Formats: sequence, C-alpha cells, structure tokens
Amino acid sequence: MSSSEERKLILKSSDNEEFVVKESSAVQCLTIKNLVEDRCVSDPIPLANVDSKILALVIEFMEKHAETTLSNSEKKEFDVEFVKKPFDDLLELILAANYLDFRELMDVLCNTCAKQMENWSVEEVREKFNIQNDYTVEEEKAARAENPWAFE
Amino acid sequence: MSSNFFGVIPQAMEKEDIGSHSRKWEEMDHDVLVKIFQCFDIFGLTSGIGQVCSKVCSTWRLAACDPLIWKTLDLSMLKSNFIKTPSEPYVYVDGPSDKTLTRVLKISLSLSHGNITTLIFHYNLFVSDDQLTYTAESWMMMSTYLYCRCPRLKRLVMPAWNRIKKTGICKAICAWKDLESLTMPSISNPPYLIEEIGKNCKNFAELKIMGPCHIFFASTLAAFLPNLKVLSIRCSIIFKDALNIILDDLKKLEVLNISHCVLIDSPPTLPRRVLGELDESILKKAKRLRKFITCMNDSCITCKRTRQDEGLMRWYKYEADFWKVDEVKSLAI
Repeated sequence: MSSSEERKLILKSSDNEEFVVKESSAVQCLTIKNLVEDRCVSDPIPLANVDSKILALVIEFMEKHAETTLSNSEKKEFDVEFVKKPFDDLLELILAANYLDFRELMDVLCNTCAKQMENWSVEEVREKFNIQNDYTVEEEKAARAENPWAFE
Repeated sequence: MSSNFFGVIPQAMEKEDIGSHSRKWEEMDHDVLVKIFQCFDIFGLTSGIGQVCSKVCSTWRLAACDPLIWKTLDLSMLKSNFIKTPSEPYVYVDGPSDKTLTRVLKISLSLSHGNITTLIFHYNLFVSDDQLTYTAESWMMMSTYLYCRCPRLKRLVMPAWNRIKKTGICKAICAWKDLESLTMPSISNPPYLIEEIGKNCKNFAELKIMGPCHIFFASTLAAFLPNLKVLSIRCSIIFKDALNIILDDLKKLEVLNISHCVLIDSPPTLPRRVLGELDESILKKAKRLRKFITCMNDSCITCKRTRQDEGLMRWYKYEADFWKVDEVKSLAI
C-alpha cells in the first residue's frame, strides 16, 4: 500500500456484517482512535455492542462529519435530517455513540432526545424507554409529593 | 427469528424479534442518562422534564441528581422577561419574573445538594430601574440562598449589579472561599470588593471585567490580587497607564486578553486620544506572558461594535449570546 493511499479500517457489527471505512473518519470515535494509536487494530475490528443497522447509520454520520469540504452549517443541516428517526433508533444510536465514544454524534443525539422528552409525563418516559417502575406504591407517592411547587 | 414447531411465534420471542427493543434499555446506564439530562436547560430541570425524570424509577432519580448536571447553574436565560426599550422611560416587565427566579433558585439549590461550582447570571438581571423587579431586598434574600446553598462555588459570572448594595455583594462573594473565577462589571470603587476577594479567596486566579479599566482599578488589582493568573478586559475601554500597571505589577499574570478594546492614551487629554495600535514598550512587556490576546482591527466586527458604542458595549443590541464570548476559553460561557 503506497503512502498516499487512504488508510482503511474494517468494522464488524455484532451480527457479523463488515464495513470498510477510512481510518481518518473512524478516529472520530475515540474507542477506535485509541486502538489505532496503541497499534491494537485487529482486522476486522469487532464491535460487539453495535448491530449492522445502527453501525451503518453511525458510519453515515461519521463520514459526513469527516468531510472537510462541508461547511459547519451544511453539517448542521445534515444533522437535522439525520435525527428524524424513530425514538427507538435514536436510543440505539445513543448507546452506540457512547460505546464508540463518538462525542459529536453523542451531543447531537442527546440534544435531540432531550428536546423530544421536554413535555413528557412520567408514564410516557417509562413507556418510551421501556422502564420498569421499581418504586413501591408508597415510594411512588412520596416521590411525586416532592417539590410540588415545581408544578405551579 | 423463526417460528416454533407449531408455526406460531410465542409472545416472548416475538418481543425480541421486534428488534432488541426490550434488551437495550437496561444498558441505558447512569452515565448515558446524565449526558441526556445535561442537555436540559435550567427551566426544564427545575420544572418540567427534570422533575419527571426523578420520578421514573430509582436509577433515573439518582441520575437526575448527579453533580455533573448541577455543577453549573446557568441562569443566563433569566432575562427574557425584561425588555428595555430605547424610548424612555418605558420598560416592559413580566410580573412573575421575580417569582420565577425564586422558584428556579429554590429548586436548583435543593436538587444540587451543594454541588454548584459555577453560577451564571445574565447581564441585565439586576438592572438599575425602580420599575424592574429586582430590588436590593430580592438580592439580599437570594444571596442568602446562594451562599448557604452553594458553599463550594468556584466560578461566578455576574456581569452587572447596578443597584445592589455594596455590602450585599461583598458578603456574598466573601462567603465563597473556594472562588477561583469572577466575571464582574467595572466598578467605581474597586477596593471594597477586590481587597475582600484577596483576603478571603485564596485560590482566586481568573478575573474578567466587563467594563472600562482605569488606572485606579488596575492598581487595586495589583495591590490586592498579586497572584492573579488570568485577566480579561475585552470590548471595553482600557487606559494606557492602566495597561502598563497590569503588565508591570501583576507579576504572576500568565494570560491577558484585551481584544476589541478602545485603547486610550495617557496622560489624559481632551478630547481623548484613541490609540490605533500597541507600541513597542507594551509589546515588549507582554512578552513574558504565556498568552497576550489582542485584536485592534478595523475590519473586526467586534472591534467595530465596541468603537460604535464608544467603549461601553450595549450588549442588548446584539445577538443573544454575544456577551458570552471570550477568547480565553475558561472565561467563555
């Protein structure tokens, strides 16, 4: 491989699909960057916590943000469209971005998620995040009674 | 996933089939939740979604109280209730603002469990006008909350405090023994405050002055804050003799930012003589600094605005977050 060729990496999703990406894009993920810098890159790099559907989306974001020819506002426009996804996908992407330590993606996703949650009730949150309420009836009553002036 | 022997997909398998929906969310661990919660603004945190999150389940409740979320109390959005119109003397005031501030403070201070280390106010929160809601009384009450409930405050951003009693400010600031960074307006009688900071805040290192710096201010800094490391005086008026005192007498200074300032020659003349550039002696003195940040550029928008406003920047005329900028990262908001 000549020195002028772009170095590439192979990322493997949890369901064994392989994706070829430029090293220069992939190092936006600090998890991958650390592997590269420590010279621990295996071929391919297995990403046990990210399935192919989500990994494809992460790579789409990654490559867009690595493009030096795009302006910041163009990248922002891309972000706005990118986050128009079902809430479940956003959560999966957040977990992937967290696992890969991809700060830019994490910031965009968390902001989007927070905005969507703004007016949700306790029940809606539990439903959308599929959370088991681990409070007993008494605990729940007590929790709801706290800071009642917050709702004035 | 394939169906079982009888061609029927059992309930449990079906759920997994929908695409790991049920699997993933236990992984929504504390750190991820905290990152999401950090995106809520102070209103959200204290009234709406923040309150909701602490009631969802015990994991969420813990995450909602995480110090990371509360270490910065950014009240800089508490200003939109005031509209000061140029045509005198009309001021539009939203009645509930005083209550809003009190409520937000109460809740933040109780939820933060003493973890607030940065406190940010907007530049027109304590404006001088009797019709505006924040009287000295309000400040006294609020400052009591503040210095009891944020004992570990390290950074205070309070760009204006026109009508507040000196003693109130002094008391509040001196209660914060761990204070390291202060953003303040220019004041006509600096010693009462600067001396107190010097005496009480042993780790004090960074100062940003949002207003003119005259020789009296500079010599007060030199006298009472000899260990000052970072000083930012931007978008304002700075007098040449004050600049010389800063460069000569603040021996521990490492970073000095005087970007976009109107530099006035000394000794004073009438009319004032504005200097277009820094002379050799100043540049020589500044060489010992780790960072000397300047901008005196006719084509710089910020320089132009400062000049247009004659050195007393009218922040309200410009973009909402314009006043938050600083070339020194630790002083930016």
